[in-house]
Amino acid sequence: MMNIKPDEITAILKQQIAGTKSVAELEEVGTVLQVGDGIARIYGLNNVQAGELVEFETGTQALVLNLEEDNIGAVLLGPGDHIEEGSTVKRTGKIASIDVSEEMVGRVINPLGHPLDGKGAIGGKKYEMPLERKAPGVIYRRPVYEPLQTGIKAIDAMIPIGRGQRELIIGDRQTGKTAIAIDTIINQKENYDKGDPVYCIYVASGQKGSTVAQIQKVLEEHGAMAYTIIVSSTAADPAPLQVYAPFAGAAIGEFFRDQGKHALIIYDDLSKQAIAYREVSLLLRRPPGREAYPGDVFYLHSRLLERACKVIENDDVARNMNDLPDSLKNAKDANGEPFVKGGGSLTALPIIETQAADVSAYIPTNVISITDGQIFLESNLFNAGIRPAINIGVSVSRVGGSAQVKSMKKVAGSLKLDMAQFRELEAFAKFGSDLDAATMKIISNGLRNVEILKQGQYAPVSVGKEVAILYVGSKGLLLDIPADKVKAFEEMFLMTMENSHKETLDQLAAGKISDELLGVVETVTKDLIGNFK
Amino acid sequence: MSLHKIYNRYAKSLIEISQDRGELESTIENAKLFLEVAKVRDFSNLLKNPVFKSELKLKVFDAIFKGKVNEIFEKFLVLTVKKNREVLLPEIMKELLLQNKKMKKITDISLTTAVDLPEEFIAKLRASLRNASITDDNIEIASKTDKSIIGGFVIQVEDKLIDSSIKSKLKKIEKTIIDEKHIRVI
Repeated sequence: MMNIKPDEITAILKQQIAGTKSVAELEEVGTVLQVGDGIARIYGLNNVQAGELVEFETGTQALVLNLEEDNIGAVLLGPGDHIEEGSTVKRTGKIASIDVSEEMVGRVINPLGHPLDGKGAIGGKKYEMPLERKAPGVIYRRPVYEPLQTGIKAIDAMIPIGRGQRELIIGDRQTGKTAIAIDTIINQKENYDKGDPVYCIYVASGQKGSTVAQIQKVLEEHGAMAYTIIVSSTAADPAPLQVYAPFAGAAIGEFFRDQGKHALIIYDDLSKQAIAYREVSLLLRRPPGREAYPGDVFYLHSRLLERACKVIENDDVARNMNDLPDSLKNAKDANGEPFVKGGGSLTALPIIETQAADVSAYIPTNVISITDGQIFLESNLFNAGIRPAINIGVSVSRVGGSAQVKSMKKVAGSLKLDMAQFRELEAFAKFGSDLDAATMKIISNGLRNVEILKQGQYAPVSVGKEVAILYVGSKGLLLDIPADKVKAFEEMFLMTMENSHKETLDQLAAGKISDELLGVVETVTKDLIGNFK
Repeated sequence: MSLHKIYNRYAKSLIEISQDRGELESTIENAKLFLEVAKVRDFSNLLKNPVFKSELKLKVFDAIFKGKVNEIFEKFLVLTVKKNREVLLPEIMKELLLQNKKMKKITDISLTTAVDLPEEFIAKLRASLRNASITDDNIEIASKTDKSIIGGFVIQVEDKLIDSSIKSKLKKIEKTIIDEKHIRVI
């Protein structure tokens, strides 16, 4: 153990004691009327505001949610033991917020900003970001136009996501919802290596602790924790923390967004958060509505998801953004420039778990209507071995199309058409030889496309490769090899392209497309295809 | 509906009728007496217990309060029993005292110290509080001693609290020292 000099400690102590304010301040206090189920009813505190933090004698903080005629309803954000009837409650004068710093990246934290990964306190200059903040107004936004590559072929081609978009991932349990989100995070490594990171925030609300630990491990293994923050409130945390975890994540995302950087946030999952909110609301005796959710559960999600946006490129306009927190308003960055810049984005991928594929339940319909599109995952596809189990027919992206790179747009256009025709004729595939040649061709091409769109977990593919292999599929070049050998061909094809035609892939990734580039792809295909007949 | 509305109304009407008849002071005394009696466990249990019939409760009230309270108060007790609100009587009485103080602009101040204070100290405090114009109302100081605050004093005026005790100062120092950045993770 390191020896600590006595004077060292004394010096520190002196310094700290000197820093303590010894002047008695005027405090505002109230008394606890009752406490239980994570809810405290407080008498007094006449001037307290809704959304303000109050503190008990034990140091536990609570969030004021209800202001009633003769009492105040507050939800505890920590342990409720040792809080008794009659004990005093102090106003803090602060609204619920989280201290965000650059050094938060790579850490696992709780919604209050405290580290959970045992790596010590979070350093760096801290900026106080309010949990509840109004979304930027219309003039501070610009339409989505840059792609956010997920590295999943089916999504990047047919349900493209743009930076600043909100795309819902919806499906039953065990259909690979979280896997899509994790793959997307892993795929952002490319941007991080290029020095233009998309910061990822994974918010676990009401998940199992083991799941969170597993995700952290996977992200670490793939080098993705270097640009990722995990906000964790597991099923064991108090319900208010589960409710506010997505808001804390959004506050962190806004910290990057308002600096002109890019961020991606994953809310895993909003159905459990809604359940936690229902619990809090019912305990606060707010009247229940449909499925016992409170009346404002739609607003809970709409105001959260509205905070994901693409900020206008103009710095001067961006600096006048509505509801900028004071901590950011006058802050300067390392070069003495104003901290707030335009051009940032916050992309949100909320996750909703349905029960028995019932998308017409209350929360799924709400979130479907709020978001800019949805990715439907189906358990029968998953069980049939089509993974990711995306139902392409009902999945849509309302704004992402304008965000695709040109090469991908061209390839994906014909792919979408092919897949739609294939789906219509799929039922006839059982009749086999009784079909005419044109129909046979559509079906067998479709089968090969389905094979191409299959993809393993934690194996995102770069844009260039996606365009190349999807071109091969849509052009019908694989009709000569059996469908079950398509995967093997793809592997060999992508390896050859990577090793011998790197510059072609780079060009395709940059959005360029020409007969010359496609010619290279076709030649490689023709060279290799013989091995798989 | 919140119970607050109910006992607020009962208290208000009792004050108003007492005022009209010029018996407010005696009603206030009666309310204090009632609260004293309500501290007896058997009595408060009787109030709460719905098994006992109203007649029985009225008989008990008669036995305890007859002759000791004024006519209005007696009638008030009968009324509350008739309306099945006798459970709320203690709350109504508390509310009554509060409303009375509000009406007369009396501010309650609670003073906590570690040692007993001599009378002149409290008189001085009263004067200085009035000078500091924290409140220009009449002041009623309830002082109590609490050894656990070690030294200094704590003054509470309604919602506002001035905590100048040694205990809270030590707590503040503890908080700054045991800040998270000083915790070393091993």
